[in-house]
Amino acid sequence: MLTFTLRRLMFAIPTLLFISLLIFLLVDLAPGSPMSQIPLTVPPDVRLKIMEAMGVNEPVFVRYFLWLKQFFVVEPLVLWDHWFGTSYSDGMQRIVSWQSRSPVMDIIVERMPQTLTVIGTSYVLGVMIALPIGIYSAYRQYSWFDQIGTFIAMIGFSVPTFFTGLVLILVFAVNLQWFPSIYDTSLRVTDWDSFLAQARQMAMPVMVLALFNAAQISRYMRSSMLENLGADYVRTARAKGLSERIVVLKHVVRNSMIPVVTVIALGIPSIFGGAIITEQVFRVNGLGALLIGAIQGSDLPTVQTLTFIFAVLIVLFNLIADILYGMLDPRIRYD
Amino acid sequence: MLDAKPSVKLVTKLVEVKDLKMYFPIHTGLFRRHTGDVKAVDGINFDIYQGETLGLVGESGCGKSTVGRALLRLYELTAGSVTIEGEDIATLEPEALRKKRPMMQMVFQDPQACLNPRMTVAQIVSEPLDEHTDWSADQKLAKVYELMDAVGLNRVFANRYPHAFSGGQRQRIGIARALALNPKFIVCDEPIAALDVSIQAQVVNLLEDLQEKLGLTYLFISHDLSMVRHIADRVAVMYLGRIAEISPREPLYADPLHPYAKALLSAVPDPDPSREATRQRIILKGDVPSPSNPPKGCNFCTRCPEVIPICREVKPELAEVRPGRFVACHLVPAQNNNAAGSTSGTTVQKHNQQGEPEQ
Repeated sequence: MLTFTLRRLMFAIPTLLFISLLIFLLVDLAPGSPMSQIPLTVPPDVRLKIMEAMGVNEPVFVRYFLWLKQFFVVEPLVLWDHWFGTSYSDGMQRIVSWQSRSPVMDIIVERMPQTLTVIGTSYVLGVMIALPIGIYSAYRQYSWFDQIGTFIAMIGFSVPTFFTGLVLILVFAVNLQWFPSIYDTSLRVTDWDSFLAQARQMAMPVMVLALFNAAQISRYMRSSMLENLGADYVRTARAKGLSERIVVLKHVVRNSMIPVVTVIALGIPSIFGGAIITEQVFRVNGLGALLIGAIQGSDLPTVQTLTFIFAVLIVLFNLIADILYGMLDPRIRYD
Repeated sequence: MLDAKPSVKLVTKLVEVKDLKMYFPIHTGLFRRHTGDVKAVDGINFDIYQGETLGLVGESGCGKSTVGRALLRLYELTAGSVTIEGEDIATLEPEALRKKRPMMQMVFQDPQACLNPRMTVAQIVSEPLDEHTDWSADQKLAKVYELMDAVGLNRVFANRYPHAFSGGQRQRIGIARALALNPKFIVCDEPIAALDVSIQAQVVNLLEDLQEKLGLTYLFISHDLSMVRHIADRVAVMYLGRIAEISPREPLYADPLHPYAKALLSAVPDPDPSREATRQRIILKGDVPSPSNPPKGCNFCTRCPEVIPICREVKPELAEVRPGRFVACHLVPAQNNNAAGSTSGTTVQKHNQQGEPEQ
């Protein structure tokens, strides 16, 4: 397993390098330029100076390799310095956002907690709702419970989050006035009241995303359960005279979880990626909102860095999913 | 091939099957309405005596496996009763049924699929012990080792997963699992169909040895007629959800009475080339009718080479036509010439057991 992991990590390096180049070129070739953000009243020579300061006048490949150096050398050094109080990175140029003129990584670290609390909670909640629903609706296939579960899953699947989000705002924020429609990032949880306020402002985005996640995962769980419920070893378990609870929970669910765990693991990068649209709808100041803002402002370094981090996470969680698969299923051995 | 065993052991009945029906509903249309049934098993009657092996043969799709599973109530029966040791399995409450499971077990057809891939051999074999005994871990492990010895598996394999074994070894695991709770009655559902020929003999010999040692009773389901001839004391021939003939092994193979049994047994190749050259095969024409829509009258009437008009109208009931031989065919009338008194006596008695109307 260790050699497999190392080999996969080694193969991930060229993959990621290629992805980073692709992202860089795509972002660079896309229409819209940082210069369009500079007001026309600024005289041409000043404008040129600004561009020079941003480093935009260099050729694409120079900027690409510069970014590579900043991402893989400078930023880790900054992190190291931050943790251990050393000063290796002094005087080195970090990746700087063109919009805010502050290091991109600092902004990301700032935005991360909002995204992780809101999107992370919704993901965990979605999984927790989805698994029992998937298990029970497979066990009672075509029952009322299953039909209703399928219907709700189809809604969660097919209705976009910006629509459910707006419906929830209309119902719970405008009509019932239970929850605020805008997420307040500056809220600090210090006591019971502020915790309740935090829970209230999280409720709607979490509901929207949990519905979406639960819809997806419950379908996977259901189909995996159905596949295993009909398997011969389940009949064997029944013939052993085990109680129905043990047959389902110990034999069927454990085997059905193998593919579902993979799906869940593969979904985790999307937590970090943030639900861009949902964050916009509820004004959650997270990574998704950061990405949207950077795209609108043609903030190349931010877009490039964020997208690349998502790519790294996706590659990483693919690997984790594979390793989990190997651990859960004794038939799969990687060495 | 022909082991000298006492042909019929008429001791006590262990299993008594009466009018067993197993229909699988067909749902069609927008509202999944119940529009018909696949009549996998359509009213069959037979008994299995203590210590004997009853072979169950028939072509694929005739309901053999369904009978085996229904006997252990791995399906909910549509109708009929299965009495094992005086208790009707078909109507037992779930908890009582669970308590009853240790004495009736099954060896499954596909040794790969029937073992949970995420459990080791020791876990698979000892799981029934967890459920039905309160033994300590050491006792259970000792029992696992004992069973592995009994089926000829090396003890060091106890912590391996099923995928690490060959087909024959897996079938041994399946047998060890079935034996864990000291059952009396084992349904062997084509235990050798998925194995290659050299392994088949090993497994069948193992089953025979275990039967001798532990006094087991088998229902041996197979489509391998020569293997059934080797292991079974009596043989039931099934066609389209019904039993065509039940006879002791030797008379059946020497002189099948039911036209379907004749056709089926004529397909068995003979190892002697000179006899093989003259073997007359009865080739049946047409296909097996759909079990969801079986023909009126005798269900073999569409393909029977000896069909007469009554076959298309009246369903023949299984009746004892010779001592110990039951046939469901209008062409095979009961013969009461030899040992008339006693035979007719049993006939009446058997009729009552079969729960059929006396004609």
